[in-house]
Amino acid sequence: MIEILEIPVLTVQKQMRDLLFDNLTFEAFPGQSALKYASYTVSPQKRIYLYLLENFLDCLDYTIYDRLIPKACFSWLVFERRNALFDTIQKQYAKRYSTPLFPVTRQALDASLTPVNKAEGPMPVIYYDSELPDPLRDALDRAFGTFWEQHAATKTADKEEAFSQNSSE
Amino acid sequence: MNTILILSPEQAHFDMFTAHYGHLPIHFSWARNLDQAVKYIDLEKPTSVFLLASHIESLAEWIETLKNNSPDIPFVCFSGALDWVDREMLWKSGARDVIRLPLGRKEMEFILRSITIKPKGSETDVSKGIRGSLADFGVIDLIRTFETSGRSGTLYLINGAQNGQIEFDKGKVVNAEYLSCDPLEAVTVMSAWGQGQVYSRFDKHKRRRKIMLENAQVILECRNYQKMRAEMLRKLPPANKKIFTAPNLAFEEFGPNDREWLQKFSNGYSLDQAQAEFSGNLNFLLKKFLFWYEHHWLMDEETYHLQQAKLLAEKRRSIFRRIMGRIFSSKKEANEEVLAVSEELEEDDVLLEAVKKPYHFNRLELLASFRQALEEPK
Repeated sequence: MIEILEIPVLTVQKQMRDLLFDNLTFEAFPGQSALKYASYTVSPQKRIYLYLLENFLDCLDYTIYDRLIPKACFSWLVFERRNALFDTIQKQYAKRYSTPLFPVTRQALDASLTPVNKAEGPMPVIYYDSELPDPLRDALDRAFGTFWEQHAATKTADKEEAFSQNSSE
Repeated sequence: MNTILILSPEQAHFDMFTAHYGHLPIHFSWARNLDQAVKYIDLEKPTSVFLLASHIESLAEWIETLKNNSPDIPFVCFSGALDWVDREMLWKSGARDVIRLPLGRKEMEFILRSITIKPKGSETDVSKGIRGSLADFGVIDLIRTFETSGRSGTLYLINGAQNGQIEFDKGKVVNAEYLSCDPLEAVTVMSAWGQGQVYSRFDKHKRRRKIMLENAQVILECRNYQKMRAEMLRKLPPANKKIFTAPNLAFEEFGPNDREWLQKFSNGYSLDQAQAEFSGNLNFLLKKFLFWYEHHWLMDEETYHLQQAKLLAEKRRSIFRRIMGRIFSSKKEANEEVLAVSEELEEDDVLLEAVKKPYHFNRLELLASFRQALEEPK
């Protein structure tokens, strides 16, 4: 049985998407020409589908977004450098969905380009090193690592909170 | 059970009563002569005595003896055709009624019922209690009145098509009924009725206690209920103003009952209308409305029209921009454009927050297996 993991990919600049995923072929679904996806084979039994979701701000119908994002483990936001558009997409995304969003970009040249979340400090950015033989695999690995760290941190925080509540009672 | 003694020399008369009126809750007994009757009255103390004789002389003699022996027992005279003087004489001697035989079966049954069976409510009519408008007496005042009097009875409340009752036992609230509400909930809900009619009936029935609180605690519950309603109404728009649902509200995400109410609001619906239409615990409904209002799923008319205009403008603007983008393949500065969009979107933050989707992913084992697979060389 083939196991599939789905990751929605939101984009800020189209050029960046082409640059990052140049070795991937995005295909349209037979019945939905607007929704494109690329399949990445992790192992013979495991595949990752990257769903390309463009025009996040300028979209009238969020049906596909609403169907994919809530059930995904996290989403990617592909960007080149932090700008107003990036901030707006991120803000709107946070208001619409509870699924974690990881920004993905090329290796940062300068720390000032790293996005910052006002409430939580620096955001976990997944860097895409195009000089590696399989940059997507590396980026996916980093993304899973970040997700796992966040998940473990949340779990520990929950445990601590529960413990403190119990001890106070 | 009523007991009637039939005093008649003929057994046929007694047989007539037992054969035809056995279905009535009356026990008939028969005395052939006056001596038997006197003995029977002393022993059994019947409810009343029927005197059946064809001659007025016999009747007069029996009445005289009866009055001497047991003056309190009521009696009815049955006879043939009597002239007016004789009838008057019988009435004056204390007969409850003078009935001329023969009679139809139905007529006789009617007479028996009227003589022996007390009409319904005759007891309560005697002890008629409070009657008035709920605008003048609140339920709390009425509970206090009952408590002061220490009496048992039932308080009936009518508010339009709705009605309920509160039962008291020696001045204590013991039970209440209103639709399918719990007894205490029924009292609190009815305590908030500001209009309608109320009347009470005192009686001496023993009642099962279903409300275990003291009257003071019940009154406190009523006060809290009214306070909660006043607070909720204060936070909601005025009751006579129309309220609307948010223009882009996803009705499918609500349950059938909630959806029904939200659909009423979609074309404008006031709280007054809702109150008039709803029967039951209104605070429960108001709590729901307040939750929706605070989450901007319900809004006042002005906000609704503003939101609707914005949504329309957004739709039009987006299509226009697309067309222009295709024609001129514009190379506008992305940031400027986005800033303009973001300003508009910020105003709609409220709408977006209202439709925020939850996070459903929970297959952590799957994720772990993928992570492991990624770490292994391809």
